[in-house]
Amino acid sequence: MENKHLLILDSSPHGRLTDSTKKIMYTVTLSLIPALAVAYWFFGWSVIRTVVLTSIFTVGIEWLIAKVFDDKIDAFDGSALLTGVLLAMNLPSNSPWWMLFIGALVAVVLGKQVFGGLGQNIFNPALVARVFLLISFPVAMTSWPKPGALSDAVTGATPLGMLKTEGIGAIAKMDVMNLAMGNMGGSLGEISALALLLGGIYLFIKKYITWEIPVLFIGTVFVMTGIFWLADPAKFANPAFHLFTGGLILGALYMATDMVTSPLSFKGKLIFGFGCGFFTVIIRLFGSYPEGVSFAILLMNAVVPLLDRYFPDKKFGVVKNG
Amino acid sequence: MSLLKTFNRGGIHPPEEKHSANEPITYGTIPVQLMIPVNQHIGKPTEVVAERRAAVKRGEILAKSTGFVSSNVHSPVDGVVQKIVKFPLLGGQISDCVVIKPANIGENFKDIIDADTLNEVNIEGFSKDEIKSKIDEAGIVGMGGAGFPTHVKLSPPAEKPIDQLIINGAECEPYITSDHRLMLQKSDEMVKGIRILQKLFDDIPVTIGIENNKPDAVKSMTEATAPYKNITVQALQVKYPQGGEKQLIESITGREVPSKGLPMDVGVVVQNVATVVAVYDAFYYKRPLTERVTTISGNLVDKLVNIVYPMGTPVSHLFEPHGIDREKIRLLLGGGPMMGRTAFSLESPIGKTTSALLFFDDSAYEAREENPCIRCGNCIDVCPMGLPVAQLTEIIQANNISTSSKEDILDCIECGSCSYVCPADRRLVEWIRIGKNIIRREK
Amino acid sequence: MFEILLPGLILGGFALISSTGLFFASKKFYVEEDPRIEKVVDMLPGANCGACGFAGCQAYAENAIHKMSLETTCPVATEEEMFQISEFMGVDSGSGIKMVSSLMCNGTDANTQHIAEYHGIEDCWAYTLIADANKACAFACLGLGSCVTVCPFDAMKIENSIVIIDEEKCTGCTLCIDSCPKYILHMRPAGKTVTVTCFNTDNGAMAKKACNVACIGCMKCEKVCEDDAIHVNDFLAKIDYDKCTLCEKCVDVCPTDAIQVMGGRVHVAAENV
Repeated sequence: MENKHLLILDSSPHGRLTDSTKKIMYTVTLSLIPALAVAYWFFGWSVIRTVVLTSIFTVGIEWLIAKVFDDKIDAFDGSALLTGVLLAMNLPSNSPWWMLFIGALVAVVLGKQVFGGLGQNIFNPALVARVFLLISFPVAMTSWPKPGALSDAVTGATPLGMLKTEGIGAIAKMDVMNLAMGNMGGSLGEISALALLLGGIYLFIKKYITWEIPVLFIGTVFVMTGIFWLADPAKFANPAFHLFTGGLILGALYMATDMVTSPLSFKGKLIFGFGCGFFTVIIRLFGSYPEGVSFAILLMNAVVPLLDRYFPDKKFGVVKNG
Repeated sequence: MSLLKTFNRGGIHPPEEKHSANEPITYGTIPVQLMIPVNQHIGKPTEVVAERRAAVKRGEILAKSTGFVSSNVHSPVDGVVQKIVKFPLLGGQISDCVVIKPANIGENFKDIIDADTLNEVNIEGFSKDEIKSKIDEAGIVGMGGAGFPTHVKLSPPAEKPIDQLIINGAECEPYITSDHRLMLQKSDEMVKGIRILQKLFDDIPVTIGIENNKPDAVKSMTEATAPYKNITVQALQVKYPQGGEKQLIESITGREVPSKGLPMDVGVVVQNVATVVAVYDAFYYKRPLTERVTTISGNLVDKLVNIVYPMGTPVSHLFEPHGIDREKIRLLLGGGPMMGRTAFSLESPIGKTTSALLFFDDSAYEAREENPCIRCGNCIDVCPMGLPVAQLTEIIQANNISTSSKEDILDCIECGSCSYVCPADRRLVEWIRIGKNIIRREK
Repeated sequence: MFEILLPGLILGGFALISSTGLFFASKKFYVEEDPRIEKVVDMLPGANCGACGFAGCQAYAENAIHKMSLETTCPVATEEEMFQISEFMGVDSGSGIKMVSSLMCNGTDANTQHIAEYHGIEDCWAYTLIADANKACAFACLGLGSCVTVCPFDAMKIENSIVIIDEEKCTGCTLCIDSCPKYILHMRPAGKTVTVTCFNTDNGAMAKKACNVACIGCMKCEKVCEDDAIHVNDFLAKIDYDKCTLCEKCVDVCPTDAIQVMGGRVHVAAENV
C-alpha cells in the first residue's frame, strides 16, 4: 500500500483569503504612524521613548504569560503591540517608565488575559489601562507637556481641562485649525485629529473598520455639543472645539472600533456609536472629569453582548411581521 | 456593471480560476471496471436489483428506487455485473457499489452515446404525470451538487402554486466549467428540456440565471431562447454563492425563501442546467442519467478538459489521459473548492453529481491552525443567510445550543464564505456542520 | 460628628428595614423540603453526570425519596455507597452490578493503517462529516477522542490511535457510548475481562485484509466454548457475559487475537503449562 502518499482530508472550503489576525493587527498599528509623526513633531523624542517602552512592556508581559501559562498564546500576533502603541498614545509623553510599566501590566493582564486572552476581553485593554492610570495617578496623568516645549519640565492642562477648570474664557482664543493640527497639550496620540483621520480613512479603505461607529460617535458629540452651544454660547464651547480636542477622534476611530469590544450587528454598532458619543458629552459637560471618551467607551463596551443579542441583523428569509 | 442583478446579503468573490472554460466537451474512454454507487441522491436508499455475474445492457436498472424520494441507478454500458462491494465514494462516504465489467473496454464513450437513437417527441402528447414518472424512471437528480431527486422537486403540493421556473446556470464555484460548456454546446437541447419542464407548470415564465463572467453563454442561451417569449436569460453579477438556490431566487425574482422553507414556498422551482439537459436526453434519446460532463482541473492536471465519462469510472482511470502524476496528488476534490468534498481513495468513482474533479499537489494546501476569534465580524458580513456566524460557532463549541440558535444553525447553507474570509482561520462552517450534526442526533 | 453619624444612621436604617423584610419573606415563602433529600444528595458521589437518567444528583435523590425506592441505582456510586444510602432510607439497594465501558476494536497503528491525513477539527463526529473511515477497517476506532472529551471521570485516553479505558476509573456512566459515531463502545460487567476487540462484520477475507487482529468469523471460539457463551453472527463473535466463566479458552484458539483479556491474562495458555 502507498502509505507515503495519503490524501488530505479536510472540510470545505479549500481556500482562504490571505487576511490574518496578524496582518490586521500590524496594519492597524501601521496606520497610527501619521499621528505618531505629528506627536513627534510637537513633543520630540519623548514620544518615541514612550511608544517603544510601552510596546516592549506589553509584548514582553504577554510573552511571559505565554511562557508560563499557555504556549498557545502568540505574543507576537500584533495584538499586544497594538495595545501597547494605543496605550502610549493615550498617555502624556513625559510619563515616567514605571507608570508605563504599570499601564502595560494592567492592559495585558487585567484588560485581556484574565478574560481568556485575545478575543475574549469585554473592555478595550488600552482604555482599561488608561483609566486605571488616570484614577491612580491623577497628577501625572493630567500634567500634559506643552507642544513644542521640548522639555518635560513645562507642563500644562489640555484645552478640555482648561475649559473645565477655568471656564469658557480660557479657550476663547484658541484657533480651531490649530487644534485640528494638534498644536495643543494632550496625550501624545490624541492631539492631531487630521493625522488620525488619515489613518482612519486608510483602515476604512482596507475594510478593517466600518463607518457606523466613528460616524455615529463623532456625529452625536457634534450635534449634542452644538445644541448646548446654541442654547448658551457663553457657557458651552462650540462643537468644533469639542470635535478636535481630547481623545474623541482617537477614541472614535481606534478605540471604539476595536473589533473585539464592539458589536457585530449593524444596529448594535449604531447604538454603540451613539452611546459612546452621548456619554462623552454628558461627562465632558457635566461630569467632574474634563474628558469622557475613555469612560464612555468602557461603559458601552460593557453592553456590547446585550446589543449583539437584542439587535441582531435581519436574517435571510425571516418575515418582518412574524 | 453593478446594475446586474444579484442577491442582497453577503457573498464573496474568490478567484474564478475557470481555466477550462474554452475546452469543448469531449468524451473519455471506457475503463476496465466501473464501480457504480447505488445511492447517488438524497433520500431513501435504493434496492439493488443487479445480480452477480448477470449481463446488463446500457440503460438497464441496477438499483431501484424504494419510494417517492429515491432515485433509480442505471448501467451506462453493456457489460457483466461482477460483484457488489462497499467502496469509498468521492465524498468520503463508504457505500455499496455495483462493479461492472464493460463489454467495450478502451472504446471511446462517444461511440456508445452516439449509438443511441434520437426520437421525435411530441411533448404535447404527454400528461404531467407521464412527464414526472419518465423523469423519475430515468433516475435524474439535481446535478448541481446536492443530488435531490428531480421528480420530487417538480411535484410541489397543490397548495403551493408555482409561477416561476428558474434554470440555474450561475456556476459560481471556482474552477468548474461543465455547466458553462453545456450552455454553449447544448443550448438547443437545453431549450427543449426547458419546454418539457414548462409543460409541467402550464407554460409559466422561465428565467435562466447566468453569472456575467460567461458572456458567451449568455449570448448563446439568448439566441437559443429567442423564439420563446416566456423564456428569458438573466445575466447576474459574479458573486459566490450566486448558484445557491435561495440566493439565485432572490437575485432573479427578489423573493426571499422563508427560513426553513423551500423554493416552492415562494412559487419557484429551480433546476440546474445539467439537469435540464438530462431531462432532454431522457425524452429524446430515452436515455437514463448515466453520464455527465465533468471538469477535470487543478494544478496537477496537464490537459484541462470538460469531459464525459460513464458514471462509475474510477478516478485512477483519468491519470494517464490527462497527464496527472499519481504520486503527487495530495488533495482530490469532488466538486469545487468552496463546497467540494475531499476524497481519500484514488479509486473512487465519478457519480451523477460530480461536476468537477480537482487534483492538487502539496503546494495548493496549507494546514491552518485555528486562532482565537477577534470578533472582526467578517463572517457575518459575508454570510448570504445573514447568520451571526461567530456567535453560533461559539455556542456550538460550548455545546450550549438553544432553541433559537438551532433555527439559525439549520438555516446555514454551508457555502463556506465565512471560513473563507476568517482572518483567524477559524473552521466556522465546519463547526456549524458539527452543530447541525448535534441537532440531528438529539432528534 | 453629625456628618458622620447621619449616613451611618440612614444606611443602618435601610439595612434594618430590608433585613426585616427578608426575614418575613423567607418565613412566608418557605418551601417545605424533605430533609432526607439533602442527606441522600450528600451521600451520592456528586458527579452530576446524569447517567442514571435523571437531571443530576438532586433530581435522582428527589425521585428516590418520593418513591422510597432505589430501583434505579446510581451507576457511579460504589456498592458500599449504595448500601449506605439504602441503609439510610431503609429500603433494598438495587441489584447493581458494576458495568464498565469497553472498546470493541484493537485497530492500533501497528494492526491497521490510516488511509488519509486528516486536518480538520479533532472530534470523531467532525470526522464522520468528512469521511466514513480513517483506517483501512471501516469499523475501526477513529481515535479522535470524542469519548475522552465527554468522560467526566478521566478514565479514557487515546493511545496508538485507539481509546484505552481505565477500568478502575470507569464508573459505568455510559456517557461515552452515545458519544461514539462508530458505536464501538459497549458496556460489559466489570471483571468480565474477556472481550472481543473487533466490530468488523465484513467477511473473513475482507476483515483480515483491513486489520491484522480482526475477527474473521472462523467459529473456532464458538466451538471451543463449553458454556455456550460465545456466538458468531455476521462474521463477528459476541460474548454473552451472563454465561461466560472467564475460562479464556476462546482466547487461546482465536487465530487473529481478536479476543483479548483486558488487564492481562489470568489463565496461562494450555500449551504453555
